[in-house]
Amino acid sequence: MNKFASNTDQKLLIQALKEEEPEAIRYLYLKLYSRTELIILNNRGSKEDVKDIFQESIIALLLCFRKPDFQLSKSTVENYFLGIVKFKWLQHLKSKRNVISDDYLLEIQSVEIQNVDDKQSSFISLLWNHFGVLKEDCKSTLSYFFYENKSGKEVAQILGFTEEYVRIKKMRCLQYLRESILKSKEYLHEFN
Amino acid sequence: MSLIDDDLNKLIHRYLMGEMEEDEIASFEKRIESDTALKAEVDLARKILSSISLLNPKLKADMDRFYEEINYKQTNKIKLFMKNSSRLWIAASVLLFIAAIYLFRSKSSITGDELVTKFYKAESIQADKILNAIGSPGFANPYPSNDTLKLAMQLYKEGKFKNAIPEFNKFISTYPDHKIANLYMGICQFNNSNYAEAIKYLNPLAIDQGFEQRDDAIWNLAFCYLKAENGRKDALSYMQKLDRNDSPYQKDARGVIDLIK
Repeated sequence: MNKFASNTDQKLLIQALKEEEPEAIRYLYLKLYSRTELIILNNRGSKEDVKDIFQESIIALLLCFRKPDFQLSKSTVENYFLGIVKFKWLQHLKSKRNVISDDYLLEIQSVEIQNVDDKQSSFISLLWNHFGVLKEDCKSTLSYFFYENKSGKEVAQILGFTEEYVRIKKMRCLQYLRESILKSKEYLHEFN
Repeated sequence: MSLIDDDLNKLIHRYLMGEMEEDEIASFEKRIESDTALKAEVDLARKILSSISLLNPKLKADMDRFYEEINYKQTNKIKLFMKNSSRLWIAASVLLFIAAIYLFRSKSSITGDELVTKFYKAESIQADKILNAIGSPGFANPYPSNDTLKLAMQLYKEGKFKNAIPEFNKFISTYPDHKIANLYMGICQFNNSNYAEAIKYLNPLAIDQGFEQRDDAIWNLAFCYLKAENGRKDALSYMQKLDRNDSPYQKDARGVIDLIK
């Protein structure tokens, strides 16, 4: 059983999310995925939309928790997360110029959604999806360089290549990633 | 297919990684300003570089795993639902099949015993009249052995069919053409499960158009055939003879016909 499932102490969950504990993320999936489905599927969304919006909302939530001054004033993590989901889905519908009912707008506006960087979390989600389809050697090269912030020398040592080789590798992998994103419909639609 | 050539990619990379000299930066920035496609590439590359450090590849892998877990659970729920639905469908089909068998049976495969239980009743109205009339001065009985007939009819009335048979036998041995005695002897044989014997007594009466209790003979004869093996067609034929407005058995005969036709 998930350790957050029966715990009403929000501090524990918030701390776990700040540390990006997998078990906390899993708790959100188990507890809130079906509710996200209800929100999106009942408002002209598809299963694929649910998957994307849920991932984007997780990223948005984690980005919020990365901000040192971020605090949830009244809401629980779960309600705040669903607020992000609704906000993101509303942005998505607006971007597609869908007609949105007043009721839905009112519901969205009543939810606490400050501090959510919609564009950034959407872009990171997009980046994540395209990063995921890169070849494994590209993924590890970019991860070492950018997420683990290792130097060219360190990466070369880890991968067993020359520094020059990993430098070119990094450049090529970034190029693949950029081309993949540039060619995607999502990028053309939402970020251009 | 590459959107830009390799040299240009190197330039973008060097520009964003801070590997260019100042004059080279100025020249490249001029080029960016005049080339919208290049600008788009550089903007995106910059965006990627500013966001990629926020990308925790392990967390992404975890999220994909959690999504699969949710998806698996939902799929299993659907499968379980489908499985249960299938079971429900099978159960419903079985019930329908049983109901169909029941209906079919109740229509055409109802047994002779069931028809007897449902419709058959030994004639009693005329038997009462006969019993009251035997021995009375007005009873048109050309035969002298009224005591034996009276006893036989009394036993019949009491439902003691087995005991009535030897009494009727005695009477009929003396008066073999006595139609009433033959009729009630036939009914007693039927109720004593001697169907072949019953048919032997009832058959001549059933075709005797001058016999006023002919319908009683036909009614009992029909049930003899219903109880007999392969006698249903004959039974139906006899029941149809009773399906007339002036027959006291019309309603019941129609009920039997509906079930065996």
